[in-house]
Amino acid sequence: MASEEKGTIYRIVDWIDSRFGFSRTILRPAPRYSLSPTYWLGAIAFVVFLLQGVTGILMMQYYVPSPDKAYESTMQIVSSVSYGLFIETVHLYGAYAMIFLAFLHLVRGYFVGVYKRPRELMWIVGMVMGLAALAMGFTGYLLPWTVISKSAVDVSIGLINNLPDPIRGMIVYIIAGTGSDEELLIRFFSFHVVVLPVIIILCFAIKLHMFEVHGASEPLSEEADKREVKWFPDVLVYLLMLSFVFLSVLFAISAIFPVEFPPKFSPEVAAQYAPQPEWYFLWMYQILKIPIFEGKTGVQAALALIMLIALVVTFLPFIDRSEKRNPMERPFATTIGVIAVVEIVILTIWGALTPGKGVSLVDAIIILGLPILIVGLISRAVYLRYQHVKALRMPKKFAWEFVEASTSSNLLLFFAMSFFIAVGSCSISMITMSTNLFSAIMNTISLITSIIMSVWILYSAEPRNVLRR
Amino acid sequence: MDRFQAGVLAILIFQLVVLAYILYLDPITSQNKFAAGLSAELAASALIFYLYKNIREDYDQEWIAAGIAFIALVILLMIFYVR
Repeated sequence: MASEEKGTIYRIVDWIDSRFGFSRTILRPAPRYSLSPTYWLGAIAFVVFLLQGVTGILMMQYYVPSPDKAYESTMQIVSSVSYGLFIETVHLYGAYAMIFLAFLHLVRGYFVGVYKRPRELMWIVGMVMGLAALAMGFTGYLLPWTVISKSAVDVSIGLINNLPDPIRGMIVYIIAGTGSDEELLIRFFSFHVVVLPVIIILCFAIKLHMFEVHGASEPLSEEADKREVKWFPDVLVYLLMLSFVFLSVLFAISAIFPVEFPPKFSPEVAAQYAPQPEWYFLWMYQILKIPIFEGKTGVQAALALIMLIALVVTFLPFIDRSEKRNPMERPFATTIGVIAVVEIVILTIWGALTPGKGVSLVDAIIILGLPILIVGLISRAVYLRYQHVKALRMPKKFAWEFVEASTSSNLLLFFAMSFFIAVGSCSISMITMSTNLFSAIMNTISLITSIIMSVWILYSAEPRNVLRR
Repeated sequence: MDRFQAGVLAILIFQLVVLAYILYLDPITSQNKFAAGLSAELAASALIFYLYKNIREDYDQEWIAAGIAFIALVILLMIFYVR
């Protein structure tokens, strides 16, 4: 298509550029390989954060941060304010989307090793942003003052009281004050609308600066297109396109499933409901229900475990010092990562299926132990296959030639296999409880399936090793 | 007018029609229709950006078809399903 045929569009773009000066921006051009949605998960999460800012400011015009009026003012927004239900729904689903995108960004970064030199501090700043996003979810959950959200926050504060004194005192001083409902709500509100957004914006500025210094992380494949495209209009148009697609889906979901609130909190109503945190905290909630974490010492141990996980992930760049980034060259890190994701998903589903119910130690061992076995087994087979361990050859017609695909396809396939077998078998245990005979049979079948699958991987046709090609 | 300009013009006319419709809706009783309409508007804008992004190359017909199918689905939801 000749450029003169598209003259109008180019003239519009040039007009915009001459007024705004986008092409004279300090933002660096991007390599072509980075124009892929997986590279922009963090950016879309930040776009959703901006949407949260807009919808949050609109809701603040009507919301009253007082225990007596918080619920009523929220209901007023939903029922009598123009576009109030839409704004409230988008704000809620936007929070879910922001946390989910941040989680995907973290998982993707972990598997492709973006935290390696020289991007260690970008990872740590990103972790601070992710934790701040979780804290925004936690503080925002209380604000409508519903029976479930208030009870869940009370349970969380009760857990904090189990911490050793200097830490407990400091956290309670910051978030709960003297312990009155008024003080709790006003502190959560101020954290939600001022402190945490400021932290996220500052971290974003720091991360953007470091991104401009280091650029997009290098591709895993040598064949990636490294030609650069200008920030304006190419990168900006791509980012807008992705953001609009994402927001379009978010708005469509908001239209189909508008938010519905449980009743207002009162001690009498609270007795009829089981406290339940938001879905992104369910995995922690489920860990705390395991019998070995009962009692003050048990809760302290569980909180220490969760803190340790957070610290290890935050300071991962200084723990994993190897130079290798390709997940197929990092069997241990990749396997641990898949196990962690599978366990988080299983704990989340389990928490959603058993609100307010305790779990037995046997259930916990089976439901959490089985995925480790399944993922470990399949992972070992995949990596042994990659290391060209000679084994019996299957007839060609039975050969599973997944190893001939690209590296990322292999990883995804491996991830999907382990994930579905583990989550599938554990879902049955979670619904029926492991003591049930049916669940025991299904768990055994899934374990045998994973053994057969591992053997199949090991004995399938000779792979063409992508890494050594 | 080439295919690209004709496509953009058609999308802009569609966006104007949807915009006029959602602004005409009651802002309290028809909020879900408004959300669906806004979703269609954003998807249509994304389609324009997609066309512009690939202005120098051949368009991937599958993505354009997927975009149009999504917009059609959202419009059908707006008219027949959500309130």
